[in-house]
Amino acid sequence: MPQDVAVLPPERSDLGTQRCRLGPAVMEDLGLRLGSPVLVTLPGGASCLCTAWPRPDLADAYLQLDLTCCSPDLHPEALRGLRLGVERLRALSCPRVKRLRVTALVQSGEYKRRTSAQAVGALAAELLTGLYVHEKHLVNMSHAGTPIRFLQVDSVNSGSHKAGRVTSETRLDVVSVRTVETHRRWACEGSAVPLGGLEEVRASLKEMLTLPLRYPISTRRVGVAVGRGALLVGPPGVGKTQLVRSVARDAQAALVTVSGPVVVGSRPGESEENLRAAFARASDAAREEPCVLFIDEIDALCPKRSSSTGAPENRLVAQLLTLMDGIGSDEEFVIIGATNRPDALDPALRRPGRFDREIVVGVPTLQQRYRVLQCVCPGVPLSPSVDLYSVAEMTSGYVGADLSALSREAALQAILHSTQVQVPVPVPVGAMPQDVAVLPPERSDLGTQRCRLGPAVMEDLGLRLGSPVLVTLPGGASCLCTAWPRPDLADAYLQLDLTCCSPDLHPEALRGLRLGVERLRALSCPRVKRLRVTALVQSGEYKRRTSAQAVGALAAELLTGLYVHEKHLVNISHAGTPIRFLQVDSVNSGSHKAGRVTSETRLDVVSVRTVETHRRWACEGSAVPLGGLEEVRASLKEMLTLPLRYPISTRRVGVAVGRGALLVGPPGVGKTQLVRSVARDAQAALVTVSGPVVVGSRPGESEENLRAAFARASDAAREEPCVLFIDEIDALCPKRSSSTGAPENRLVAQLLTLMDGIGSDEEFVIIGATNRPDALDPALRRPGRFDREIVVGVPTLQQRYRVLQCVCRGVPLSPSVDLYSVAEMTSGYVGADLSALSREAALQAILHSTQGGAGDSGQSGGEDGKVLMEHFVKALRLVPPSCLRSSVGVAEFQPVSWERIGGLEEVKLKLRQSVEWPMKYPEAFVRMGVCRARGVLLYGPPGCAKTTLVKAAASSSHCSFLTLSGAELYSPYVGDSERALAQLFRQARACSPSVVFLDEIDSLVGCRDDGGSCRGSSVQAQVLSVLLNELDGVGFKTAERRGTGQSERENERTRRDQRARLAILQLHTEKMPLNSDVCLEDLATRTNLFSGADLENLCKEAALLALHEEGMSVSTVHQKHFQKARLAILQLHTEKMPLNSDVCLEDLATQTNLFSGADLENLCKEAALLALHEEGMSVSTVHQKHFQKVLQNFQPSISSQQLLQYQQLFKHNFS
Amino acid sequence: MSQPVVLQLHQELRKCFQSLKANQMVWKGVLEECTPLVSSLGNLAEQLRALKSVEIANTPLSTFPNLPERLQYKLLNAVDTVLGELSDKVDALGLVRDSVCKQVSAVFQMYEQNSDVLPISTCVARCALSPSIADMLEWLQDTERYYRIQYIQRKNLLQLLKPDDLTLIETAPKRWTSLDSPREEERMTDALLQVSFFMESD
Repeated sequence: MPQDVAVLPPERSDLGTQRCRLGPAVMEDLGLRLGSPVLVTLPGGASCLCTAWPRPDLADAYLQLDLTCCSPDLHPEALRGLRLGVERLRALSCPRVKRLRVTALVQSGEYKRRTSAQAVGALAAELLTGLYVHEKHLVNMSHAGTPIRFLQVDSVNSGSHKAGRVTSETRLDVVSVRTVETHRRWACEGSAVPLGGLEEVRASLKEMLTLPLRYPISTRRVGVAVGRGALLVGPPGVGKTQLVRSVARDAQAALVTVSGPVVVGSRPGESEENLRAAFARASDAAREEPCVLFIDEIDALCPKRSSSTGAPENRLVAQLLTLMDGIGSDEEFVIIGATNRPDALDPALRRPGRFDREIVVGVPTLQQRYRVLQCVCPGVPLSPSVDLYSVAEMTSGYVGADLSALSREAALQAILHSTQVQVPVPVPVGAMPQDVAVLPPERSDLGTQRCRLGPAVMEDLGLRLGSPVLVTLPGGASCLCTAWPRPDLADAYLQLDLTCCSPDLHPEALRGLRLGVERLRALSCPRVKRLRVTALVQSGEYKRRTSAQAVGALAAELLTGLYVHEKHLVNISHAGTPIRFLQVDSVNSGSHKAGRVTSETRLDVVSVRTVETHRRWACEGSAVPLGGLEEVRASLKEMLTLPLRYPISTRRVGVAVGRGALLVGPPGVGKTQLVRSVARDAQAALVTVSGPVVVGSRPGESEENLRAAFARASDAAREEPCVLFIDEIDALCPKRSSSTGAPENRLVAQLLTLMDGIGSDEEFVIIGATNRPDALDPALRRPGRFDREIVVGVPTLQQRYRVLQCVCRGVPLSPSVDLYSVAEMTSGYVGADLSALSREAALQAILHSTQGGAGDSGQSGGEDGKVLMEHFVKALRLVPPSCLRSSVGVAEFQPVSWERIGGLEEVKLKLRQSVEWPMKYPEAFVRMGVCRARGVLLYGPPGCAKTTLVKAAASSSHCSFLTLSGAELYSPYVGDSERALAQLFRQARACSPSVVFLDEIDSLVGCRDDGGSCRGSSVQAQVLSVLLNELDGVGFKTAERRGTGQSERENERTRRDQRARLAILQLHTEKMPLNSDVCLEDLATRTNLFSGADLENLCKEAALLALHEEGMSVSTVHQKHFQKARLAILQLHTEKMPLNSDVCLEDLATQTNLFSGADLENLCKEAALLALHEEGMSVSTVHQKHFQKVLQNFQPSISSQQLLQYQQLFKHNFS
Repeated sequence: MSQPVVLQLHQELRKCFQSLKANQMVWKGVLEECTPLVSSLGNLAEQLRALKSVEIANTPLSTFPNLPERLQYKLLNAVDTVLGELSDKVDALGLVRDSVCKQVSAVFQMYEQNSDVLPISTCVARCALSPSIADMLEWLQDTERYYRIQYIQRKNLLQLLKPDDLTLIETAPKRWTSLDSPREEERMTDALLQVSFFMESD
């Protein structure tokens, strides 16, 4: 007998027969009979189960295997030319299989959706009958030509046997049905290259993906909305794509890949369409299983809108933004973007709510390189002489791709051995002995309100045929059905018809669910005498045309014979009548929970609504509560509700309906949420138009879409108040002067005419939202179109506190968490940032408790599942404020404490006074009548810690810190520098309180009257003028707070006030070359009149007149005038200041020769600050000694020499 | 033990299926009578439409006084008549439904009264001659539901028809035929076939 046999390919006629052709001698040797099962084990460990049959030619040296039932890792190619030892064939005892659990792999997802698991099971049972199966093997069924291609055997006889023969009595359970594609993907991803050195990043990403995807219930319990996206940032080749693949595999999620350049098409509108298609694909896949949408090279897709050249790019960006906003939290898909140029991305993309996390994948360090090498080398047969650590040392700067190329190069002959990584999947729920699997209902049962149960279960629960049973699902949703036995009498399954179920029950939630039998409860249902329902009809037209009585009669007929439950929604859409749903408001006037409707039941239809309206209300009912936006919201609500809800009284007072409001604010402050919530409050329909969806490819299509949207709003307005909300309106309505083509102009014009066309009798209001108001066409911003512009600013401390209270409502907080201190730490965070923060903290808590190994991995809400303060602190590190992502002057810096700077006590004190105090002790400042310092100029020799001081000031006050140096500012393009500076200030205002640090300011702005060579056209001068304007508006190194509503107005006032005072400064710098006398005189007059800068002209005239009268020798007289003027200025500035009686202003006035108005103002301020410093914060008055002390080290800003120079100039001009 | 109850219930079921068979014939007959009425309704709608579009003043018929008005009056009268006849037919369908409902609910009532002595295992037991009680009750419930919904749908369709809305009347024949659901009919027939042995095995 031969010791080994050659493997030949099987005969065609043997395919699918599971036969293994052997020589008769070998069969005899092994003790095999005809058709007895034999297990063939291949060298790699793969195996194949066959039945032994003799070869027709009776040759003993050959073996032919039919691979019908073999282990998944057996490749037919591996058999080619193989010689097997006879000892590898083994006879196997195969009893009859009583119970078999299989996974069916079907050809198409459609078949899977359309076919019930039961039908698949029946088909699978027929296909398997007569075959021998082995645990963990894959049975190839594709030769039969049915939609089931493969069956994977999960267990035979509940695991008590390894192999067996399937008979017609075998009870077959199909555990799950997958498409072949899904299965293949999992299988081949299982053999993906392992990633070394990326453990931290991977853990971070995985935690973000897997927690919400795999433990939806516990994450829902801690009130965390699913994080929508992550942005991977890193140099090319570090393994971003690999990382996403591997994480998606771990999370058992489908991966839809979009690469930026593929999306962009040539026709206008094509790119947006492609993008929408990609999202639709992901959303489709998400219906089957968790899904990750991976956008590679996202920078190509989403460049900065301000810097991009054309409208198409802007539209594409806006489309991506709206698509990302459109992912409902019920869709389980996550977007991951990857880029190596994060600063080229549009900032709106980088805020939480879109990309919640930014994960930086850096170039690997030595340790990481070592681990990468370890990972890429297991397939390479290394000699012991190879020291991977020293290789890692030699390869600094190599990224993952480089290292893998290195190992490949080094081992030309090596075969990359793919290692199967088996990841243990945590089973979320322990299997209960008494539970049933929920299957989708049969088609024939739809609408019958039947619940198919096994007879044993029915008997167990005491249910009779057709008796009502209430099924409660884990989430608290419930469904009322009538019990019927299953036709096949199987006890392990439950089929529910959702005719009468609570509104929060989603059919998707039932998929693959296992329910404990205790969740089924027999319900006693008396006959209903009286029933109150709300009818939901299909169309508004039917509602208008039909009387409530007719609706009631129809509803009564439809309901007859059904069982109803309070607060449930009865689905009667299968009957095909205009009434689609009936919501049960009360049964027997509330005395019963459930009952049976008979023909004697008296039915009251409380109200009739369209399904759409109802759905909107229902889904808005679960909207996120908004904290900290009360003022803005009240303002918006007042505008909407008054005309919408009280049309008659507003008409009586003769107010025309306000047509529109424009919401302006940085990304993430909650503009969209605000509109939703206000519309819900006002019980108004909300028609949403997003800019990019409107734009079409054909000429005129965009305008048509826009008109259609308005028509839709106007339709809805006929039923009920309506709000038309245009998100990202800047994409729709760019400046006509700057936009390139006629199509954009036409679109803008269409929007304008449509807005004008809203008659005052139509009750609909337009709200636009944008974060780039300056990109809008000016014609849009006039009253009559957008009547109000509502600025939604970055939240203040109080507002942040309230936002945090709102977003943490569902999060189980431990008592150690002090939300107020969290609010203090999060200056510059907007609403989306804060919600991302709380989410991150909750995720940290879940992670903490799952890693803590309390045993139950799915449980997080136990005794240690609370969110602690440390989780918030950790989350703070992961979530930076979105306004600081990708802005101009953002500087990363280590926090520096004041103690780290030696000496310089006085300077430190000054900085504290001007930066820290106004924030810490605002009430003391108000009492002392001091307004905060607006700017501080630090000067000194190099190396005396000027920069460090600023950092310390910023870190101690928890301000956002922006810095700009001359090198960053100047660019070769005309106007670029000015824009950059203006943008810096805009950003600083957006994430106030903030500290703007202009390093080396002398290089930014020189002195305009240096050597008289000042040219108005030079860039420096222009930058200076921008800077002055900005300072005028805000103040340099500002600690400004922007509030909303009331506080906003107050701010406006102080700012105007301040602008008036700063006008003095402006006069000094700009008008001085003309006449310094005039200026001082001017100040004097101005203080007398207490009025603003608008009197400037008058004063100037008066001063000129005085000069004329007194001639040119006026210096002595002037001194007197000046003294008087100074006194008046001092009086003005100390008006609000509580002065001690010993303060003599006259005295001060004489001492302050040559001081200008601004100097005097500063003097008063400094004195007050000194008083605060010396006497403590509770001081009530300012003493004379303070003034004196300040005066000692105070210099007037203009020297007598300069004054003389000005006077000379003046003489020149007037002689 | 529960044998007499089972026999009693079987008897009741037999009676019910018998009447169901009769009612099915009646239902089919009434529907057949409806078909010409519905198509004539469509014809009338077409004539009304034609009358609207034609300019009688430009035709030789212009000499007849008030011709369009008279024609319209006539046509509308005809529509009213047809609608009246149709609603009579639908009422006849309602009668069928009522009788089916009564029969079925009687069977169910009987089952409910005796369900204490009828364990589920008895209810689901099938034999060569008779389907299980559960199956038969299920078929009865299905049939009752089918008649009820058919009646509601047809009545609702008639109620929606207004003589002034021509498009609705024009599309009425199509919508009437689309209400036919051959699949459900077939299931009923199937059920009746499955119980045919049972009905004869008295």
